[in-house]
Amino acid sequence: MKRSKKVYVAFLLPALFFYVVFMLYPLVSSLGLSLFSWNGYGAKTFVGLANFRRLFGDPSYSARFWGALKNNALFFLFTVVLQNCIALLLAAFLNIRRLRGAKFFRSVLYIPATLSIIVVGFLWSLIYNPLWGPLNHTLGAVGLGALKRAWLGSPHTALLAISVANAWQYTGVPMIMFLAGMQAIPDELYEAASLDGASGSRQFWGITFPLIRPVMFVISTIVFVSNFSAFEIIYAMAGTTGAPNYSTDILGTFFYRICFGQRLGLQPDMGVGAAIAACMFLLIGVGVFFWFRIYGKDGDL
Amino acid sequence: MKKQISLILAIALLLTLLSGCSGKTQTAETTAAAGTTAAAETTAAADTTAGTTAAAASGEKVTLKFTGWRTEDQDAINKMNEKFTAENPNIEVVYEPVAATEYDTYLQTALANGTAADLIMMRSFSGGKTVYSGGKITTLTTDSVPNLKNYPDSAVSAWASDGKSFAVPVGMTVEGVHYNKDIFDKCGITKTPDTVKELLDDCKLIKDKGYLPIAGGVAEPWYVSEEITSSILMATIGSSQWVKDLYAKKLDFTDAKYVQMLQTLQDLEQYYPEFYDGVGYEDCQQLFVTGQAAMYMSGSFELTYLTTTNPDLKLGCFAFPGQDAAPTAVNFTAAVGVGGYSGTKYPEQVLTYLNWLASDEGGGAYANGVLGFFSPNPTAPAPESEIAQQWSALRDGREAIHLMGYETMTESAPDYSTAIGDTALKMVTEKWTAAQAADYMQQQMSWFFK
Repeated sequence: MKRSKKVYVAFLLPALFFYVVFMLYPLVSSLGLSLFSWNGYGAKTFVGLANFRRLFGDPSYSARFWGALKNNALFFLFTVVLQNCIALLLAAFLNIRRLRGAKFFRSVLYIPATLSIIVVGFLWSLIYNPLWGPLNHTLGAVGLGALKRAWLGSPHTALLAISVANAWQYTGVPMIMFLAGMQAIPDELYEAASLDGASGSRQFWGITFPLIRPVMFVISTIVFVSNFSAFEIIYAMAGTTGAPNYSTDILGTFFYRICFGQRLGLQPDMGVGAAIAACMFLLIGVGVFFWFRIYGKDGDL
Repeated sequence: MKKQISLILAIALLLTLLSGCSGKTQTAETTAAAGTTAAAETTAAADTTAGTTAAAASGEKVTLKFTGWRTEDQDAINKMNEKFTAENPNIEVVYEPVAATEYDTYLQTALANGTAADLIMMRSFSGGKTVYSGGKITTLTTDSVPNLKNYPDSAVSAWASDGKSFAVPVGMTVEGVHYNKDIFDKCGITKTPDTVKELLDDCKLIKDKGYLPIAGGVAEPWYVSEEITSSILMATIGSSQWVKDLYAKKLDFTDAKYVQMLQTLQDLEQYYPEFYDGVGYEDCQQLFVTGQAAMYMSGSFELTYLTTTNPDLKLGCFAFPGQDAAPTAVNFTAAVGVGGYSGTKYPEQVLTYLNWLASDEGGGAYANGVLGFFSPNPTAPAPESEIAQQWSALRDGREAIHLMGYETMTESAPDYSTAIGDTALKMVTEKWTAAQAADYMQQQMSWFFK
């Protein structure tokens, strides 16, 4: 039965309209803005590649750029370990047959993901507060007073502290996805393995783990993209200055700081900010492209 | 038939989406203004202080929106606006502040898409100049705002770009040390310190008695820059010549006086709360206002917050001590100016308000209501609050030098404020000497000296 193409186009138009107006146009115009110099208030002047030359040539800027990139990579590493590995473990537990309270725990573990990021960041910064935060108080109370420190104030622990807060919030999401992937594995495989005398953990590494590879692939992509474009959690917990000592400075906060300036300090420079954003776009795009090339071949998406 | 219905539904969906994006929304003022009928001019007293043009008050009630970053001063500014409306019954001013951390971003977007308020609180020097450069802030002259003549040139130029005024100077603050009189009495300290040595001795005495000497922390760069290091620096250098030489690049941050400032900072840090590397501005505020700390380095702008949050707190103040003798200079900030949005629908009413703010009465009303902000107009009446007067008096017999990092050193990254905040924290985490920290500061700010 022939369907008129006009109907398909008519239904696609709203989505296409939104995509072009709210995603494609701003993206292209931002990339274009990186070729101009603009303080956000006055007129734009065309400067060609001067912004990029400044970003990579001027030591005060390039040091911040590579530092931010390094922090992004660290943040990604912490997230993979703290968030994804724990999510996999939790999913494995929740997948156990006839586990009592499975549904309850599933919901409870997912609830943090529904909270506002700013609220989570703010609450965790209160927890970490060295003067009256519960973390230091608890450590002192159980006799681990030597571990007390300014968690968000020390450059060695700040990024890790923020990663913990971020992982706490989002562990539920990969957990649910892993769980769904695990529950799609037919029971016969496990029965056959049990008959052959395979132990629980052997079954996990031999059957479950390989068969959830497609899910792991999707989750890694999402985590990669969201971590390298992260901003809100760092903004809520450490502000945009990357304090302390730029140890929490990621590409997102570096971009925001340069683009919008800071209160009473640095004047806004939207051209260089747009150049940073263009670099972020390139980085994430290239990263995802290679990730797909390497691992997308055998997994089915 | 089915095909046509599907097509119609799809187009209807598209149309409803498009209708959602309407053009500029009408503001309440325009509809209100259009609705009121022009009443005959009765015995409404012409306000001589305002010096308005006759066209302004034609019986049409106008509401001006006023935006700023001082959320703490909402009540005080409301009262001040009521005074203004009492004299100018047809103009009502509504103050709608935005949080200080978001104010600049808010201004950028509001000015760009034409939704800015009629009256805009402006920062001095580069902060305000950048906003003015967009061309959306009205240029003020002594013709349009006659009372601008009340101010000395130093005040007017703080809110001017290339000689063109963009805001009426409204509030200046003085930075120094707040102290808790009760704790000082309990420790037997009868005289506030004049030298750094006396200060350190007092701190030791307070600590031995079991109180927290100073509520301080180096976690937030702006707090370190503006409230701590700037006060210490001005007291250390004693006159503005050092700053002038710095800006003229005749000396740099490795100069002995700057190292001395960093040394004093380091000496004071042992009297800060534990884990002060993670203590920020609000933590310090809390420690002091709840009576847990004896001293708090900040500015006169805190007075409204401190007096309303804890009215029982016995507040005192002193200028940050000099190195070897009583200080001959204090830190001050050209804090608040008010400008007009050039795209306002009520330009005359905006100028009326600005002129009133610049008058003795307006300046006095602001200084009296918004505690701790002093009028740059020398003939404006002094605030009635005793503690505000004490803060104002810190300038007597001393040179008032403007806060570092406002007039210049903001054009490139890192700006002065971020650099000194970064340096102060690194001095703690890397356990540097003051000289090493000064070297790092110089390295961070090397772009300025090129």
